[in-house]
Amino acid sequence: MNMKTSVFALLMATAMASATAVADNQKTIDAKADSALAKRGVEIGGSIRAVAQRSSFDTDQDPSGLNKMPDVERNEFVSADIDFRFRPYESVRANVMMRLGGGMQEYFAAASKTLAVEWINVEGNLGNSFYWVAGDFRQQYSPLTLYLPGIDIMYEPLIFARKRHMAQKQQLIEGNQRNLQGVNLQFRKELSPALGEVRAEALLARVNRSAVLDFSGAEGNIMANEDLPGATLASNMDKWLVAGNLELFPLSKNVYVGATPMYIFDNEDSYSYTYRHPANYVNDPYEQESINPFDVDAQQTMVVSGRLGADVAGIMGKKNLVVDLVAEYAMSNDKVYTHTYTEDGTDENGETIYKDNVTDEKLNGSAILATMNLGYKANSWNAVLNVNGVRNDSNWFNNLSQSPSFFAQRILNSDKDGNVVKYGVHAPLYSSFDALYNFAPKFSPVARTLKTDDDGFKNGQTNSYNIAPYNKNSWGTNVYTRSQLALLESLNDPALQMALPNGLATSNRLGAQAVGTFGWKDYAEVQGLFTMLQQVNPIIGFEKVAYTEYGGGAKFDVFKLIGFSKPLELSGSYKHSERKADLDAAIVGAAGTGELKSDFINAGLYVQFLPRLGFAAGLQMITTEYNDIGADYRWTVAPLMKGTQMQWMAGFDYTVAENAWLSINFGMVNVENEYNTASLVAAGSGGAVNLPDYYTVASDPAGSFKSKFSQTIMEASINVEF
Amino acid sequence: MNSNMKKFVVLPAMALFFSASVAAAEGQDSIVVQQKSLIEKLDSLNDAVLGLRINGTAKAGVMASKAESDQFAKESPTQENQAYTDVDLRLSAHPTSETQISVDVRLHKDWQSAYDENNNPVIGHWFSYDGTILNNHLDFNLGYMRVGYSPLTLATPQPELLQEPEIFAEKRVYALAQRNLDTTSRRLMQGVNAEYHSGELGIIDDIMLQATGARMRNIAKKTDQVFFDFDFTDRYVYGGRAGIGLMGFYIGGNYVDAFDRLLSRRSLNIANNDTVYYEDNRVFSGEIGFTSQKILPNLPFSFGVKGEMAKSNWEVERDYMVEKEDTIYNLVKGFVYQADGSRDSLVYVTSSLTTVNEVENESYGKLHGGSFYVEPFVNGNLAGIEFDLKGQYIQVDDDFWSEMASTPTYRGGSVVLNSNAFYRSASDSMLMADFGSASLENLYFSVYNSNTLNATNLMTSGKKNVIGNKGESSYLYSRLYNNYKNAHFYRNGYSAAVQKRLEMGELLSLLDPTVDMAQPYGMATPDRKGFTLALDLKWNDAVTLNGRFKQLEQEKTVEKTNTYTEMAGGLGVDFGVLFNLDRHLILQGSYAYSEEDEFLKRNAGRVMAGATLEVWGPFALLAGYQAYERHFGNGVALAENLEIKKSTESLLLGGLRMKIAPLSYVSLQYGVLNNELGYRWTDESGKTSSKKMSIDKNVIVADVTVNF
Repeated sequence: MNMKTSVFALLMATAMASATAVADNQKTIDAKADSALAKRGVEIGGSIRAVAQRSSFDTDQDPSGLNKMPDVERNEFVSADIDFRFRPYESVRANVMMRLGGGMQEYFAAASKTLAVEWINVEGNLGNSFYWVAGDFRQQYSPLTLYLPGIDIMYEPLIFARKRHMAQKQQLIEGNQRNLQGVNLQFRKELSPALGEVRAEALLARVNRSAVLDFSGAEGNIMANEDLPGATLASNMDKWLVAGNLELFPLSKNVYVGATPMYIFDNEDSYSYTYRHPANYVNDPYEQESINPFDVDAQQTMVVSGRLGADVAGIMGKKNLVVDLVAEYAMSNDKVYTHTYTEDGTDENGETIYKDNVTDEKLNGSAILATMNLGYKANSWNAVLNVNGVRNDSNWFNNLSQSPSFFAQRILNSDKDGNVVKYGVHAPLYSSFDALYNFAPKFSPVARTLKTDDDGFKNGQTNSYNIAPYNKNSWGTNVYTRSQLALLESLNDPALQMALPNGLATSNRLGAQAVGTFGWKDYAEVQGLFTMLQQVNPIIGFEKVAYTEYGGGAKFDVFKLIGFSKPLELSGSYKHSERKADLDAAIVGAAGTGELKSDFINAGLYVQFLPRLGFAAGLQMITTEYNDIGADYRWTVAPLMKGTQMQWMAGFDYTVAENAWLSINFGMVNVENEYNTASLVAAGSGGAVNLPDYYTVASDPAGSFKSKFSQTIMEASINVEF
Repeated sequence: MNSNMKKFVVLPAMALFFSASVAAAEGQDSIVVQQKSLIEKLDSLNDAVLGLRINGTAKAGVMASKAESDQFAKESPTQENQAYTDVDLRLSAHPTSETQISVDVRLHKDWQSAYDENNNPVIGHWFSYDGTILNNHLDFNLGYMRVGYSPLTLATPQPELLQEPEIFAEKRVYALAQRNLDTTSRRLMQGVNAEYHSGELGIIDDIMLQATGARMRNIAKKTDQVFFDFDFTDRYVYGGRAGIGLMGFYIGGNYVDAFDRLLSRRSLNIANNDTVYYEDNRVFSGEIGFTSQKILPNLPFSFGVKGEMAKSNWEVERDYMVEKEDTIYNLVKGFVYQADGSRDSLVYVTSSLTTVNEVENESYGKLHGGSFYVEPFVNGNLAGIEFDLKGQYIQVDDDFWSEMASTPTYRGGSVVLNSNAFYRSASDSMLMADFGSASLENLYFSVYNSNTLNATNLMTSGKKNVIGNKGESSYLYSRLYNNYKNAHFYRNGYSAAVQKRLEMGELLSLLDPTVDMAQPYGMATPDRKGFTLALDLKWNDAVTLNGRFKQLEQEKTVEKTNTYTEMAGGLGVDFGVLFNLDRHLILQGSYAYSEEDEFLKRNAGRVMAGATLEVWGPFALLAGYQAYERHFGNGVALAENLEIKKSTESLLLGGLRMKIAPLSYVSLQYGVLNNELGYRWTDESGKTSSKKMSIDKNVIVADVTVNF
């Protein structure tokens, strides 16, 4: 084509005819051989999740239909993650994961489909000892350093566990590994039986980038349209993480010595600004302001951790004995800022100008985690006691280990209380089960006015999101800042995140958590849990808060016990969580105890009655109760006093492999929340963000409102991982 | 494709290596023959795989630029970091052995783990169906294509930077590739192209026929949203060529017509204060040439001449709204009384004058111009020295215009690094906004981001019509995307867009003379007359020497005759080849100087030096230095109160490159970029003063590139 042919080359020739030198040819051969070798093939893997779901909201408390938003939400989507691994057998590889998303419809073509980049990296190894990856990667070092704290639900019924599995996979969560983007280097070398193995690791990751986000979006914000520190996830500066990890496993890997230094810092020189219309009024001129004006301080956090552990049973040569001990001590040094404002003259309009006086100090914190596993494993039974002892002081801070994977969101029927779904756990129609198990990758909300012209959309915007598609999911691997974590603390679900909301790295905790497990082949397993923690330093107005958890559970496979190959598994658990805080009489001037108690019950059944065809059922119930002092007033004047949530679901499934199934389920969520509305009643009017919009003071003479609603869910799901 | 592919490719490749080492023991000629055979086999391996292939390039890395300037505002950011993973996936399918479907897609992620980036799209980058059919006589392209006819009809002017060190060249190629461009003189288009070659027919060397059609611009489809890549009407180009070669002689003709389609625009309304211009540019050229190689093949050198003569026709018409008075007639029902007192109905006609706005079309201008050039050349190998000497006399009328041969891909004028910075004074802000950063920054650096779509990058227009109404939509904040959607954004000094003549007029004073001061629009630059000389010498593949000289006059479009003089020389030595080492150890450098004696009285000098040293095993040291100084003798006015007088730039870039696998590298580079601008500024009180703006940038680039 074009100018390449002989005739025209004759006219256009500008380069000299090259002598056919051996060197020239050799270069060409090398290049072409390189090119040929570069085509070392491709492996394709991936997963497909498809859900068709109908959730119907129902309440008897809105007989006149004050809430005009739709009662039914239907989510129908297919999400296919296609994983390409290029040159899979080479020492250098490239990996690409693309996500194809589609809604289930055939009426129009393109709008509902997405093709997105979810995961790209290049990786390789030098010999057998050195591995590197640049781009997306996952990594965890230890619970106090680099870790993604999750949520444990004892003997969670399979029918629900599968839903959670899909929701987490949608967010690319793999266990407790943190998803990062940057460069990760790993060196592992077996030295000798005495010296064991050495592992040297280092990583550089950009945790956030200086980029503008809308404050009104459902994504990119913890709380849309709020001018609080931590409300938005946008960053003024590039935030970087530099970390190293050195581990040695001497004495035939029976002893463990590890050290991890980490430095998390905002690159202050990259502090950038943007231009916005004041108060979103388009006709006013743009004004320069910080990308995130609510969180302007640069993070500088140094974390150093040392770990020592031993497999005592291994040293003793006792194969059946379990005696593991690991102790970790970590220190953090974090720069914190204090802003005070003083008057600094007036502007041209006579308005007072305030000057921001910033002072900073370094907060030193420490954390100790001691883990012990004691037990015995015989052929037919095993018994293991796992104990985690923690002593994390209140200044301890490491957002790479404290940022939780679960941030409770409102998922199904979110149009119904759309304006306030940003309050998450405090939203009127919230339930823990909805947050834990449901997700919708591309949910298109309706406008509050139910009109579809420009004015309708403009007036129909909500305080929690824009009227545009977004991803509804409570799970994620985001790394939060100090102020974001502080905000999240007020949005934790007490039924799920009471004692250790930020995992074992939760600051201001002293105590221990013990889990004992007794297993009998794969027939049965029994577990007991006991946690006792208290704060290291009290918060103002209270003595140290004490946290107690206890519970137990069991699972039992009846069919396996009588010799069938298919499972019939019964499982159940009970957990009681409690928080107690005595008032500090010296400050408050009164005595009393703030209390929060929560009980979580699980019951599950799974039976396969034909090859691959099974029936699953699950029941979960949570009750949460506050006393008057313990009630949470942080987002509302009408706090929740008692909540009862129940969920059941049953359905049939066709299971091909562990993570490959097709299921059809039907279930219900029933919620009864009792609120103290005395102050609203006293005022004679008004509502609160946690009360449904059909609540009226007129119908609540007692100042105690019991909100009752239910969601009826019918769903079909397909999950295939290949 | 996976494991089978591995067996298929790897084993033959290993066999070829083995045979290469055996061949090395034989005589030199025999080695060369065998090498050629190997190259053919490798070509065959690389190209002739039926079915679907997926190849691509993945790159991950960091580019941090830290800037210092006294002109930065106190709170200005001084650092901008790029940290990214970028994958170009090339899918090629061979439905037959003669044709290929190519689809390139691009994936990009900017590193961060603080918030979800849902819907970060995979963007389509290249779609084409190409082939060589009819017994290799017909090449065709459908979709994206790069097509060139001749320097006066269809071509892309490229900068010629003598002895450009590899460290610079690879950065320039990378920046060009981000916009689908390359370093050839072919033009990037989307359409259809077919080229027929007869091959030898008796005494005839070749008969060639070519036809091309492409859409250059696309009318906006969503008129309430503002995009960067639309026009107010569709613009098409079509062209054709024919030629015949005989005993080393060649004669041919080219025709290209680029035009706006009026009816596309007229499907939409325009506002009363809008004017839309339509340009039609037709160029015809004839080419002749001769080379001695065909009839005197045994000479150690060949000589010849080529020439082209072109005629252009440029016509503009415009649509604009005019107010007209119109008479409106209405039928009115009424009645009249009859003598008997009864009423009779009747209908009568009333008229009234009203004002209506109508589209008026008129011819706005016409230009007819001519141009020609003659280029004798001689090249060959004498006493082991390869040489190539070219001379050219060129004459282009001031009314000559060949759009498809004029727009350069290099534009400059943008701020690539530290674009987040802002400035202490209005003049410095204006300077950066209108004149941009250093041309060395524009030539060699590029930024590519996948950003969340938000209120600052979702531009909405207040009116359906976006020609005259640029106000923002009051619905802006109700059209936000929940931070759910990303889009891809490029920032570099290159553009694939072809500019029309009226648009080029605005660009002229701003065009960076890095391209070519004397011929900013390549050989088709209007109002030029003069000659050029070019000499290249090469000895033993080790020493290369280049010389250039150009003197052109501009007469018609300036008050006084303006003479452009350009001269350049370069020297490169590969000590690895010189001392028969099995590696490249290249040192190279060049100097170029350009000036005009009247008009803007600009002059520019460029010093370039570089090293490419394959020091040991997989390690290579790369370094480059450029200093570039421009003087604007009569100043270039950016605004009434701002006139640029001088620009001084330098770029020092050095680094280490390690080969980690076939076609895969780890690279670490550090660069220092200085940019100084001298200008005259008239403040609000009318006082004029000389001012200086100086920015220093320290750039660190660390990346890993994997080809697969």
